[in-house]
Amino acid sequence: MLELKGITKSYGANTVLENTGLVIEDGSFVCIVGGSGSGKSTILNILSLFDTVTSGDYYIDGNNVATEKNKHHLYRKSLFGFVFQSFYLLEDLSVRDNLTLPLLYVKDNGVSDMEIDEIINGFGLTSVAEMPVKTLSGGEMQRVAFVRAIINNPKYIFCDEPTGNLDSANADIIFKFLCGENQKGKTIVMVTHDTALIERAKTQGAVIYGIEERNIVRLP
Amino acid sequence: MGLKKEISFAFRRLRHIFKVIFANKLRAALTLAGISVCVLVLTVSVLRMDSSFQKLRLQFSFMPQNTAILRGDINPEEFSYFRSAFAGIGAVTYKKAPDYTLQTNNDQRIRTHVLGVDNNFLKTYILDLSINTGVYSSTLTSGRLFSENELAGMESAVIINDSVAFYLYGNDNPLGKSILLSAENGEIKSYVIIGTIKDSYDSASSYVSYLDGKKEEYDINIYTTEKNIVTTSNSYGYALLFVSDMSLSLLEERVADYLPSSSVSVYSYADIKDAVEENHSMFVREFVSLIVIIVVCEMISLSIFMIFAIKERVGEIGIRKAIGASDNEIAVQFVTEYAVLGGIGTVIGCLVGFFINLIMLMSGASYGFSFVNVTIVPVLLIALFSITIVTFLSLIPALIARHVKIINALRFV
Ligand SMILES: Nc1ncnc2c1ncn2[C@@H]1O[C@H](COP(=O)(O)OP(=O)(O)OP(=O)(O)O)[C@@H](O)[C@H]1O
Ligand SMILES: [Mg+2]
Repeated sequence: MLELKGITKSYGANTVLENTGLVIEDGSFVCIVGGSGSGKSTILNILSLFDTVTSGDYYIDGNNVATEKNKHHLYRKSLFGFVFQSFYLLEDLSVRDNLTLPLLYVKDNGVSDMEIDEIINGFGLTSVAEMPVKTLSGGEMQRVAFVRAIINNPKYIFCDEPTGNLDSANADIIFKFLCGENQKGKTIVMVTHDTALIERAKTQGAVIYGIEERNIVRLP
Repeated sequence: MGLKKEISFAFRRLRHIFKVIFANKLRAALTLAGISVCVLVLTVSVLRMDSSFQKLRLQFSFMPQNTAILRGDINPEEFSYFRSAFAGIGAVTYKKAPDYTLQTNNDQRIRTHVLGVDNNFLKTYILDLSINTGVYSSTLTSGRLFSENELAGMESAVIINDSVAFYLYGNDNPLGKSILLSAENGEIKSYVIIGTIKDSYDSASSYVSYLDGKKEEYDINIYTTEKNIVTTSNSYGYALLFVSDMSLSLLEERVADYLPSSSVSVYSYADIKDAVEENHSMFVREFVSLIVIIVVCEMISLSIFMIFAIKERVGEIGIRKAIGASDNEIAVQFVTEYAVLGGIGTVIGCLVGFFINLIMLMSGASYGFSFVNVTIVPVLLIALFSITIVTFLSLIPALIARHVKIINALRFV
C-alpha cells in the first residue's frame, strides 16, 4: 500500500501540493487527472521516489520513506516500474540491453536468458531485439519501456501519459498491457489527460483522482 | 555458489560497460585518442631518456679509470714539448689551429683538421658537453695503426674516417692510396692511407653534410704522426682525453714544469664523470619538468573532457537511478568505464610509443646507438601510472554522477 500523508510540495515560492494525502491500495488501478500544470506529474514523481516531498510523510507498505533517502533506490529497484510519455530509454543501446537494464542492478534476479527471449518474442520485439533503440518507432519504444517496467516483477507500475506520444492503435496496445498487469494483481498508477483513456480505465474499475486547489481529491 | 554468483554478476556488469562504452563511437574514440596520445608522448620521452642513460653508462664503461683530461689553449711549440713528455697522449684541444686543405682526386679542395697523434689515439675520448652529452671514442675498421718508422716521422701516413674514405673512393679500398694535404703556408705533402676508423655518432652526419656542401663548418679529422702538426679542434666545449698511469698530482706538476705559461689544466676521471653527470642531470631535470608539464596539461584537459562527457550523460544517469541503481553503483560504473578506456588507451599509446622509439633506435643504430637495449620496464611503469591516473581522474565524473538527482536528470533525456 502506498500512502501520502499531509504532504506539501513546493518549487521555491510555487506550492503545487499543500497538506494533502492519497492512499493507493494494492492491486488497484489509479488514474490521476487534471489540467496542465496542476501537479499530476509531481504526485507521480513523489510516489515513484524520483522526487522528495517538501514536508509530510510517505508510507510504502507501512514504512515511512520520506526520511530514509539512502534506501530509496532499493524501493525503486524491487517494487517500482515506470512507463513515461518520453520513454526514457538509453538510445544508443540495443532493445535487449534496455529492457534488461533493471536486472543489472539486482544480483539475484532469477530471470534466465531464455525467459528474456520469450518475453522479447511475446511483445513482438524479436526482429528489433539487437537494434539500437534510437532506430525504433514510437510504438516500439513504448513497448520496450513497458517490458523494462515489468521485467523485475514490480508491485507498482507508474505511468505518466504512457500513450501521449502514440497513435491510437499503439495507445491501445499499451493500455491493454497495463490492464493485463493489473489483472495479474499489480498496482497501476496512471497520470493522463486523455479523456477517452480515462473512460476506458473506469470500465476496468479504475479509481480516479483529481487536483483541486493544491489538494488531491477523489473524483466519481 | 555465492562466489560464482558474484563473479557472474560482476561479469554481466562489465560486459554491459563495454557495450555502453562502444555504443557511442565518437565519445569512445575521442576519449581513447586523448589518453593514448598522452601515453604515447610519455612513452617516447621516457624511452628516449632511458636510452640516453644507457648510452652514458656504456660510454663510461669503455673509459679506463686512469683516463685524464687536459684542457686549455696551447701553442704548437708547447704542444710538441708536451707530446714528448707524456707517452700515451692522444690530443689536446687547441683553438687557434691552422687550416689544412685536403686535395681530392677530382681537384676539389676541402678543409679539414689534421690531428697529430700516436698509436694511443684510439684510446682518446672526446668529451662533449653540449646537448648530446657524452664521451665518444672510435675503433679501427680497416688497415692498421702506425708503424715504428711512421711514428718516428720517417714515413708519412694517415688514418681517415670511414665516411671520408667513402667520399674519396666510394666502395674502392682506400688502403694504400695517397692523399695530398696542404698547410696554410702552402706546403703540400703526400700521405699514404694505412687505416680507417669508425665514424662517431655525431661526426658521421656532419662529415656528410659538409662533404655534400650543405654545411659551412668542417670538422673532418685526419690522423697523422707528423710532429709539427698541432692537434686541433674547432671545439666549443669539448676536450680530448687520454690514458695515463701517472698520478694526477704528478701530471699537474709535469704540466706546470713543461708548460709554465699555458692555461692547460688537468682533470681526473672522476672530474670528467662529475662534469658529464652534472650536465646530464641538468638535461634530465629539464626533460622531466617538460614531461611533468605535459602530463599535468593532459590531466587537466582529460578531466575537462570527462566533465563535459558526464554532462552529456545526465539523462542516462537519471534513467539508471530511476530504474533502481544506487548512487554508488552509478559512481562505480563511471570509474569502471574510465578504467577500461584508460587500459585500452594506455595499451595503444604504449605500443605505438614503443615502436616509434624502436624505429628511432634503429635509424640511430648506424651512428652508434646500436648498443642501446630496448627496455620494457619503463613502458610497464608508464602503463601502470597512466591507468592509475585515468582511474583516479574518473572520480571527478563519478562524483558528479553520484550527486545527480533523478527529477532534474530526466529533463535532459
Ligand atoms: N523541477 C521543477 N522546478 C520548478 N517548478 C516545477 C518543477 N517541476 C514542476 N514544476 C511546476 O510545478 C507545477 C506542476 O507541474 P507538473 O509537471 O506536476 O504538472 P502536470 O500536471 O504534470 O502538467 P502537464 O499535464 O502539463 O504534464 C507546474 O507549475 C510546474 O511549473
Ligand atoms: Mg505532467
